[in-house]
Amino acid sequence: MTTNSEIIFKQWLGEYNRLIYKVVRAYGSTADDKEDLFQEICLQLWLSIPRFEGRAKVSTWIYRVALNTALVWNRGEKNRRKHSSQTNIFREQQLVESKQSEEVVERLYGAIKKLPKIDASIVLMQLDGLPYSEMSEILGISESNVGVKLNRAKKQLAFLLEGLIDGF
Amino acid sequence: MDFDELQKVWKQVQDGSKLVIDTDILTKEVKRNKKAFESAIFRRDALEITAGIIIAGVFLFGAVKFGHNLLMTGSLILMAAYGLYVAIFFPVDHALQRRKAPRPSESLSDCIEESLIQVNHQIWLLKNVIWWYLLPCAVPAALYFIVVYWVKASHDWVSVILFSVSIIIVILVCWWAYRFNQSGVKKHLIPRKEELEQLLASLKSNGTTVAL
Repeated sequence: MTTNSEIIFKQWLGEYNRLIYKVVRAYGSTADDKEDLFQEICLQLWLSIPRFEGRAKVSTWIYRVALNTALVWNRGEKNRRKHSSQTNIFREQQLVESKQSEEVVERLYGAIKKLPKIDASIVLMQLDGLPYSEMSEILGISESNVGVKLNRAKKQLAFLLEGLIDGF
Repeated sequence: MDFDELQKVWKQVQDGSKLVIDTDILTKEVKRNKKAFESAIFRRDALEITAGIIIAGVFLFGAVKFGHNLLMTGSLILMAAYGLYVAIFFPVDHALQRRKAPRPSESLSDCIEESLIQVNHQIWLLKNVIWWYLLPCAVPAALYFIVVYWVKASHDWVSVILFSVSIIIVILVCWWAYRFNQSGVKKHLIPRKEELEQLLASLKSNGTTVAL
């Protein structure tokens, strides 16, 4: 029987799967780790549905759940999915071939992984064009603190992507 | 290339690809994970309650049937009380901790702070395991062996050896349990606590130190 939670979950997943995938790609290391993190985020998202009252935007809610799970999740607890019957639940499919852009994004992900975890989340949100107010709501810090952290993260990113970008 | 251009490339790549997910399979997996998680918690609680009740029952029966004197009955009743205490303490503590568990739908700083509270609680429990778990069991057990030895008519060398071995076993089991818990704190909980503290400090700080 399809429950209300299931309908909402599928709807969120259909609409915001890329958002989850970006977080997974930025914080997961191996393929197994990414698979595990993806499923953990989905589980947390499912559990969060009854608490969603519609006060926050759905994207903010999902970003919050995804980032919190990626940053706070205790990887030592992931064994419960050890015997999972399913693997490769998601895969990325290229619709438009653009090797150069993909290489840039690949390097960008590599650089994001090297940033401190919090800075990485801010860069991710900034790349997605989230306003400071939304970032502040997701992280639970002031907008001015978001600004300070973003500037610092951008400097680090410029250093890590030397040769690709001129500096921000 | 500047950040705006980087953002454009980022968006362009996102728009030029799609994520293929079998939502039905994923939904099934999520439901299965949720069920597995809930049944693991249920099994753990059920096991602790059952073990506690069995301990309480066995020692209460022993107290009624074999309690030859007040001291022996008293030591057996203490063991039974310990069993009941285990049957109540663990599930209540787990339930309280579950209520305080961090929710990923809260802000990141709240989520980290709540995780820290949980880790600190676990560290406190394991560091003090000797007081709330081991001694309440070891004291009545040792008392029982002392009483058995004391009420025994003949204090020959066999009973002295049996008594000594029993007490040594109680001490060794407690020592092993204590060391095992302390190593768990050192290996898993302290690093986790440090990781969370570092994350929280990095979130709250607004300094400009560049740390790569």
